[in-house]
Amino acid sequence: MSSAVESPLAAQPLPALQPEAGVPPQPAAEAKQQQGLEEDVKASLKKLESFEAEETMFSCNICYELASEPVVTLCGHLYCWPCLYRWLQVQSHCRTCPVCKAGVEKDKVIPIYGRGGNEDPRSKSKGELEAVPQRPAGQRPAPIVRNPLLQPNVNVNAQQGGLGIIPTLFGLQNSNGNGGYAEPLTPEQQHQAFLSRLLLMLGSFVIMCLLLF
Amino acid sequence: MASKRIQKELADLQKDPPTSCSAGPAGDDLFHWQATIMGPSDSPYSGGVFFVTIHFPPDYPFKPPKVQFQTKVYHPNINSQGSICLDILKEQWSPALTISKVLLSICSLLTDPNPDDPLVPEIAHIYKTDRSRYEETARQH
Repeated sequence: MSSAVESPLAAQPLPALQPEAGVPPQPAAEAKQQQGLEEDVKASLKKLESFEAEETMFSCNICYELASEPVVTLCGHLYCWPCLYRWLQVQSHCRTCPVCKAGVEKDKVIPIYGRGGNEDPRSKSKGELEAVPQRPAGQRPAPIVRNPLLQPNVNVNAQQGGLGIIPTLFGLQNSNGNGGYAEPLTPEQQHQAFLSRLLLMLGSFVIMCLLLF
Repeated sequence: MASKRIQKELADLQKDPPTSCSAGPAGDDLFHWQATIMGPSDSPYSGGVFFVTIHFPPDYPFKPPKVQFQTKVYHPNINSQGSICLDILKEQWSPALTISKVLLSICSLLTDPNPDDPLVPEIAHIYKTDRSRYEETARQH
């Protein structure tokens, strides 16, 4: 019976597994394949672990899932915006961070905009949208330019010492010239800054004229 | 959301079980758990095993879970019905807390009662005035 089963198998030898030359490579190939498989499994396990670690690192402190519409409080704790909003609604008397009990204000949380996962708000049901308002927008402070050489306008103002306090008004964020590091302004911003300075100068000139004559 | 979060807590408890306590669903209902707490070794409850029921509200974790002792405990902050007077189960609840942390807090409450905010004033009085009698009675329970 067994020979009858074996014989058809033996009757159709695989081209790569011919006797003599074919037999030794077979276990080696199998071992190699198995090793590759093990490595694959190990690699995917590692990936899964790192994914889990990543997920806990960036999970909401309320629902324990990867934060959706992430916001961070001023004390640095990460939440989903819907979760934090709901918690702040539940807490009526004094609004605190669930992790550290620091004060939290709805409009003082910082939204986090990642590369992906920015859902289209239209895809949400209407009821949900009405219940939880949009998370506050991020603040956009003006970039800090530390190299005065990249800001010719500042130099123009600084040279006009006769105008007294006006140069400080003009060059507030740009006047600290320490360090060679510079965050370049976009041409549009530069243009705007220049225009606003020009207007201020003209205005002060008019006022001086009025005072003197 | 509540059931997902409870499932996560259950998975965490199984992955990294706390010493001296254990918890899990009592039946098929994920919102109804049964937990056991071993009496802390540095307390008169040492050697005792205490059964606790946990009920999760539907809006968990925004509202605290309801935790009650099933085993009778002689303690200034636990009454004969098994109700526990613990701030984090009431106004100091935070959604960042977990059942594991709550059980740990109950363990430390067993070790260090809070007689200034008692649920059973008589036991609190005995605890304050006659510590050895309190320890003796607690041990007998």
